[in-house]
Amino acid sequence: MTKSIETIWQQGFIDEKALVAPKINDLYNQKSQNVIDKLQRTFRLNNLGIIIGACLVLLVLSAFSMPVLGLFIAAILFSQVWISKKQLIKLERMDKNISSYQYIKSFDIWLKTAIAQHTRMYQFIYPALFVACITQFGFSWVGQSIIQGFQMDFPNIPVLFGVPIVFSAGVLFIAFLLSYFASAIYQLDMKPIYGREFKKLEEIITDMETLRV
Amino acid sequence: MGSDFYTAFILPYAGIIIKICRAYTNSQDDFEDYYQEVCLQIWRSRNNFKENSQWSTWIYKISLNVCLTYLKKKNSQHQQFASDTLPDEVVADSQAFSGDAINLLYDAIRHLSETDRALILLYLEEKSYLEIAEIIGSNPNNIGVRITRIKQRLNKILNMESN
Repeated sequence: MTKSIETIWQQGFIDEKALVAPKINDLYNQKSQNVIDKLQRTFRLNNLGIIIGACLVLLVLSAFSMPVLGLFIAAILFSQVWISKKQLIKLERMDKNISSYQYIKSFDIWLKTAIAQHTRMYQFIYPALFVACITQFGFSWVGQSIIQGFQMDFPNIPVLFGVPIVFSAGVLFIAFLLSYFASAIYQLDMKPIYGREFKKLEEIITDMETLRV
Repeated sequence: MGSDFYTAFILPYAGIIIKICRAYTNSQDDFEDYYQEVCLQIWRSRNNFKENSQWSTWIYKISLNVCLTYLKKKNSQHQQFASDTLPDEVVADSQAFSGDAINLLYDAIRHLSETDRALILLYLEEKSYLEIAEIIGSNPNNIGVRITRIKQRLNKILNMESN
């Protein structure tokens, strides 16, 4: 190899006008494959799904004479939509006309904040939904008959607010497990979809940071 | 996209986009996808353009930022560029790259990290260290040292490929 890379480059593009741009069809209506745009679409779609789900839960549970539980679940789900919407606004404000480092870094900061907020939400939402559903079940005739049957079989087990303490402890334990694994479940959920891209961004940031020192 | 915008503001700078996208892709299909994405993002971000920098510098920024954050489609076929593997075959894109040497150079550039690809592309496009630092967002004092290292690495790869 005798030619320098600068010469190869210059000779390779002697006539820059000869560069043939690929044909683009109906570009404006095409879906963007940019990681940021794709996340925006995912967030919007998730929010829409949650809103529809929350309304359905409210309607169905009200129809089955459980409006309080319906309202509680809908409120939790709507709070999630509200937080996601706030995150989405921040993401939409991200400017692409900044340096590569600033662009990737600001996206990384947004991403980490969004994941942390979602993780905290799910740590609360999963156990809350579980406890709410179990409480509603406890008030149903099936739940009441199970509690009464248990109290007759084990009359010495202490009771708190009319519920055997082992039941409450069991529910709390499962709620704790749901809270504990919520973060891991959320991370597992994200990894197959965006794991490779997140890793790539991390590597680019680390590399660019060495150039900033 | 309004075709007027594409013709007036993107097409005259298509060379920049083509050169950058080509360094970040391994196949003709990927290259076309990246090119489309860059054009789409330029159009979408057009209102953010501040006239304190040149339009061409802005095109470099958007092109690099898009290439660095593009999500590759799953199961995309990893066919190499026709011009990289079959230099005699007539394909539209190969017209853009006039010789085997440039194709070998691109092949070598694709062995570099994402950041190094951006740096060497800007250097080969005769951007000053200050401009490179502005586009990448780095300290201009470090650019020269890094580019020297990248060039050494590229020469090594090119020598290996030519032997």
